Amino acid sequence: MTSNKTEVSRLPLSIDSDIFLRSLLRELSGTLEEVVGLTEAAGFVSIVGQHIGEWMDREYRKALCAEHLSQQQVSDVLVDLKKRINGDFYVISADHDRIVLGNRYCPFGDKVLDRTSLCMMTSNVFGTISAENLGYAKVCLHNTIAGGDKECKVTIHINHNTTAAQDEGREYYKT
Amino acid sequence: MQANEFLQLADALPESLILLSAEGRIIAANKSAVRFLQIDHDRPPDCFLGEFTDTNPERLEAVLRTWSRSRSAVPAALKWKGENRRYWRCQGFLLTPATKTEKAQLVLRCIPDKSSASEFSALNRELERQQRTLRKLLDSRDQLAKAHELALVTLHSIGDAVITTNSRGEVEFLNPIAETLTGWNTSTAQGKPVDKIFNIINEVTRQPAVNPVARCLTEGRIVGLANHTALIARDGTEYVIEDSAAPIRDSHGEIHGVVLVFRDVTGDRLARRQLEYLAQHDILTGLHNRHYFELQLDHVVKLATRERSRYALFYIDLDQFKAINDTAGHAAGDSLLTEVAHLFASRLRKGDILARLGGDEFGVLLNNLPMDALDTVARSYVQALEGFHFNWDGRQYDITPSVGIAIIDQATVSAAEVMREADIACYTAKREGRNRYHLYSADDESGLDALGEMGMVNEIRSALVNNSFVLYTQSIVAMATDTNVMSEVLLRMTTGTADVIPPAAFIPVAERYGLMPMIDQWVVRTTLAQLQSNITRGLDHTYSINLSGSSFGDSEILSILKSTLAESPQLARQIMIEVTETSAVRHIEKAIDFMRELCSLGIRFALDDFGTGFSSFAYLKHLPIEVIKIDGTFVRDIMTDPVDQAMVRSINHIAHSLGKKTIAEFVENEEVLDYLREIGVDMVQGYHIDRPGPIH
Repeated sequence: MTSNKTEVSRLPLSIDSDIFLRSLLRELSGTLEEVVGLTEAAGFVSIVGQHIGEWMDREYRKALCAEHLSQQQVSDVLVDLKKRINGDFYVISADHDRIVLGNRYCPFGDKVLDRTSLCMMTSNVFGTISAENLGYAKVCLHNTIAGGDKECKVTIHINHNTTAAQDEGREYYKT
Repeated sequence: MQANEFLQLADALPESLILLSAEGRIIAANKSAVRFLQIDHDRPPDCFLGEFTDTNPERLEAVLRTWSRSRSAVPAALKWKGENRRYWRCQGFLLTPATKTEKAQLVLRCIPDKSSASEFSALNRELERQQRTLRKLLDSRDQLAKAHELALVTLHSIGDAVITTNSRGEVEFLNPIAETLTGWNTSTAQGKPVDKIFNIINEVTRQPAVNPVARCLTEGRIVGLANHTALIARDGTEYVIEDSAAPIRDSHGEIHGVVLVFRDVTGDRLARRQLEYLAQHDILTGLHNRHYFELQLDHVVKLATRERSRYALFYIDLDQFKAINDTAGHAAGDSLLTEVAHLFASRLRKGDILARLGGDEFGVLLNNLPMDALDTVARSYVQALEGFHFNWDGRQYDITPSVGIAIIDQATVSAAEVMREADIACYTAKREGRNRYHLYSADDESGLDALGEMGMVNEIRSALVNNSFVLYTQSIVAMATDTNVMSEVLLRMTTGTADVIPPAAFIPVAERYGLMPMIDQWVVRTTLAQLQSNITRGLDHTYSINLSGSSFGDSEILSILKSTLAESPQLARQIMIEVTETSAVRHIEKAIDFMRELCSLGIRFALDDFGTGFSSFAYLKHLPIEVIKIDGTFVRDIMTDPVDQAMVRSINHIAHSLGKKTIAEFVENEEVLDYLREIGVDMVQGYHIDRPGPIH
């Protein structure tokens, strides 16, 4: 019995806490998309994303001892938070109107493939933090690993101007 | 956006759309939303979203904030109030963000929960509900089957007969008892009209009786069978039955049929009739007994007072009967009384009542007797015995009656008074030469000499004053140990001439003139003095004292006993009080109270002359009696009379089964003693054991 137990524990399986949680999310979002449809699933994930965004915003403000984050700080926070959760985001460009971010690796890993509703997590986390600190955000997901792109490309419009209006994405406001 | 602008756009849309402030105040609701929220369309809502949901305020605030932030529709799980809104889903989004001059506005979209998930969930819920219902159904079917089985077992095992019918009165079921009584089995009876199976008649008129099932179905209530209902079984056997029919109703009160429950009371009816007969009749002659006669006399006295009608009472005493009884024996006396009873009965007019009042005394209660016919009728009773010769053992005896007549009319005071008058008239008839009748008149009272009744009354009063009563005792012996366990205290009266007068000569007079309580007080007082004297002499002996019914509840007797027992409580266990069966039953409530009070002092009770009343079996359970004295008239001839044997055996058996001891009186020879020992009588008393003698 003891030898059998040992043998099982030494089996070369790719099961650990991280893989388990990512698999769990993949299955949850997949089931949600199948059952209620992509739009509704995205809506549900939006709620989760907003709550996570609020939480992260509070954590960063507290750590930075800032009542509000500046545009630079927002840009840094968005990249940092993704790094902390194993993403690989980087700033492509940033000016007064927008922040453009690239991403080489999704925190959900390969579990995100074909699960575009999970991208609502990024959209809402980025939108919530940006809008709460800068007043407005429109998050446009131009490329997504989930949708089959090699990298993600995310534009966050922080001013409600014509360019923003013409870009397709989700708008967020300070509450 | 203004509310009217919103409504212009939204009213035409089928979905429920609500314009909200960021705080959740409802600014406008389109037509569909008005229906959804059940609010008045014409009035500005001016209310908050929270009023329509059970979502807690903190959670609702978070939801509003989520909507306020996003221009894209975000779903929210709100718990809508009301069963019809419970499964509606909603999505909210920011319509106009807040500016410096305007507040943020939200749009809430409410849609019936028709997603595939909700349908799946609804299906799931419905399946669960159906499964629960199915489980309940199966459970109740099991319970129903069990209840049905239980009902069948019950119906098969109960002692009553049961027939059930449908609402048309057609038989559906008979239990085994019903099958036996009706002679029909369920399979052949099923579907037949109940009248055919349950064929009932009035046992007296022999006419068909009304079937209770039909009445029960018509009237919708429990219907009892009429009295004297008899069931005629399929083979013609007749059973006297009792009981009822009850409607079978469903939970809505509709009658689905009738359950008819009945039982064979033929045996009970016969036994009851036998008991009723014994309670009212004299076994020897078959005439009514004294108890019944006195009840009728009471009734007639009341009628005479109320209706101004007139009746007559004949009190008949046989002349020379005692001589025949003493010389030819009791059996001869009994036979003579039976024949005389027949002769008197032949003289009865319609409505008259003849009874044997005891010994050789008979009473006749004559209904509506005209005064001019009185002589003729009275004479016919005297003439009834003319030419009658009683033959016994080769000897011939002639016997004559003396008839005392008392009139019962509105002047009559009481039954006791009229009996006393008839008794005096009878005595007068005897005094005037016997074999005649005499109508009572007030002069008869003064005519009573010293040997007459008034003389006896004076003798009794004098004896009480002069202490001329004496106590005798007669031993009572236990069969098991052959030892004297107690003695019955007997009363005698002495006169100035030193004659000893037996109680039979003065007790009836004392009872009629209300002197018994005083005599009983004397007896109790004297017996207690004797017991105290016994203690000083080192004797431990129990006395059995006779008390008359008129002394029940007598405060003087209670006082004497209580004060003596307070001083010498040990005396209580040496006192037994005998009350006669007839007096106890006649004054039952008084007797029970009196006996219980004395029992609480430690005094025990015996029921005397048991078997003469026949009405008292039921009372045995209620009276606190320790001992039953079997009346001597059953014991005396026990070796020759099978009826007496049966009576003594039965009384002894009943007494023992009620936990009471028995004493047989009138044990006059060894043969009787042996027989009583054989059947298990506990104690005996009589001339063969001990003759009465002065107490010492």
